[in-house]
Amino acid sequence: MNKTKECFTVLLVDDSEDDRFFMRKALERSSILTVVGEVRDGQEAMDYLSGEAAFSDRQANPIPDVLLLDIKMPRKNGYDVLEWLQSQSFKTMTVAVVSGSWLAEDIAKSMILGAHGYFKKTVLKEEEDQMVLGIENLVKKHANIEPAK
Amino acid sequence: MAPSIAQSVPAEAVELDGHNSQKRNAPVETTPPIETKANILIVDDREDKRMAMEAIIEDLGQNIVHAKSGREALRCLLKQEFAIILLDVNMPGMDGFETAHLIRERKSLENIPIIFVSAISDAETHVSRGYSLGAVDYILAPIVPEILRTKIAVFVELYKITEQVKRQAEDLRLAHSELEIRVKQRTEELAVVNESLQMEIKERQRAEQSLRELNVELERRVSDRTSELLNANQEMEAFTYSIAHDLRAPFRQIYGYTEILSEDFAAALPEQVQGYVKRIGAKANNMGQMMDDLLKLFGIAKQTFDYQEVDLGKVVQEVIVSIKSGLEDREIEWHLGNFPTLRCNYGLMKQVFDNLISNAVKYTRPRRPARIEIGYDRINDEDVFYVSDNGVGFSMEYVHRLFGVFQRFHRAEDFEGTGVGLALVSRIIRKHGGRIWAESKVDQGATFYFTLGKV
Repeated sequence: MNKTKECFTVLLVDDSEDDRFFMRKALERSSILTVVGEVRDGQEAMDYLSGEAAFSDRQANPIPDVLLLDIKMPRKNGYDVLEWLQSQSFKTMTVAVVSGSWLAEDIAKSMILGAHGYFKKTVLKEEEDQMVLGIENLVKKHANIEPAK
Repeated sequence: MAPSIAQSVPAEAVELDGHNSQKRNAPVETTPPIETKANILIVDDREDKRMAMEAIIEDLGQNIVHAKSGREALRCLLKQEFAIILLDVNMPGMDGFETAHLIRERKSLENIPIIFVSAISDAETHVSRGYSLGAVDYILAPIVPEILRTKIAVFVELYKITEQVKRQAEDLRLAHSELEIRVKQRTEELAVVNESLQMEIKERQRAEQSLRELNVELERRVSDRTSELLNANQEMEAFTYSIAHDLRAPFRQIYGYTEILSEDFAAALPEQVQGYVKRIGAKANNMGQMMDDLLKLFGIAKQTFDYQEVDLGKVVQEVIVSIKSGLEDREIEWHLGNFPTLRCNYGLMKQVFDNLISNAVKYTRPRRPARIEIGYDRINDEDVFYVSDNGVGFSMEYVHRLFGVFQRFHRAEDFEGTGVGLALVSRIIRKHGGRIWAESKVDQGATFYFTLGKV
């Protein structure tokens, strides 16, 4: 995989191993996004980002540029993480919700809680590519780079 | 005998000794004096004087009774009622005055008129002695017949009138007591009726009260039931939604894996296996689609809508433009009518037209050219929208299933779709207070009609 100079790291947060797998595969087709970590629920996400216990090694577990967050998870869910993030200072981190739901209220709630973007989970090739492009643009915008058309 | 009370008394007279009643049911004022004889008592020890007096008053036609002495007079007075007593003053033994005293002693004879017959020479003493007895008169002997007759006549008249008055009073009294009895009876009857009426009223009030209470109870139950139903409905929708939502994920993932197999491992898989893998994927995708459509369907139920004045002509145009942009290589003749601006929900109505027109486009695929007409007309006194095509149509035999969820009239191989679209459209139309129906003949196209109500 040829990554350009601009390289953004991604942390996947999803309780479904399958969904993480599909997301990883989709992101492999991106030239600027690299997955550096995967956690299984909101609690692990918070632990990772705070550098708790298992994730204290920042070499192995770097703070990502992008957080891809599922909503429905055991222990702490996506909304819990979003709320928690508001009290934290990961100002440069792009947070996007990737969810199976396409309900207006879920989208609205996510945005209100501070998500930068919202994407619907998909396994259709074209839709996956669209989603990856969407994430890339989101990240670039956040980093003040011109988004690709 | 009962007197009639309707008019004044008396109607019938009570019988007294020697009296006959005459007029019945006649008012008091016009009752003439009873034509009965009065009794006149002549008291004198000398028969010749008695006879003389009788002769004088004989033609008055009354009943004359003789008494030879004061004693006999008293006896007579006890036996009968007399209108007047002619009393000789000069009698041996008990004279007239003594007799008069004795008469006056009896209560019943207190007021009986007494005419003393006295000699002129004794006049002064007698007169003064007599008057103190009350109700007396004098006639001086020798008697002047005219004077005697006149006096007697007067007293007889007086007596008769008095008797009549007494009779009338008696009648009145009887009638009055009759009346009182009747009134008492009536009052008692009324009291009884009243009591039973009161009971009826109480009963009725009680019944009304129970009815009211029942009503209140009923309303409370209806209200409870309604909230229960609303709650149950909401719960069911939430439940169904959540199920559909959760069920979607695995199918998506199955499809994802079949995609990976097909793409990355095509070389390693025999063609047959690739075929199977593709089918697995298709079925999984199908499932996901159905979930999505179901969710959309329930999404309709959950939302409350805002309605606005919408130019439906514009909506139809927008829908056609968007559909056309997705079409490759189709010959379609479009016929558009005029559409009103109506109060409805823009997004939902757009979905309705999108759905109906897409269907028309889909099911006219075998036609060259396809003919699709979209219009708005007055049919049977209603304003009706319609989408008509010359496509493959369907048999009216199954028309009642047309708008059911997951109902398909054509095989999936021939025409894609999960069969939820029309259910959704039907729901939207009904939300707008309208109705939707269709007509078709196999192989001769179909027309879908719908109306919109007031929102």
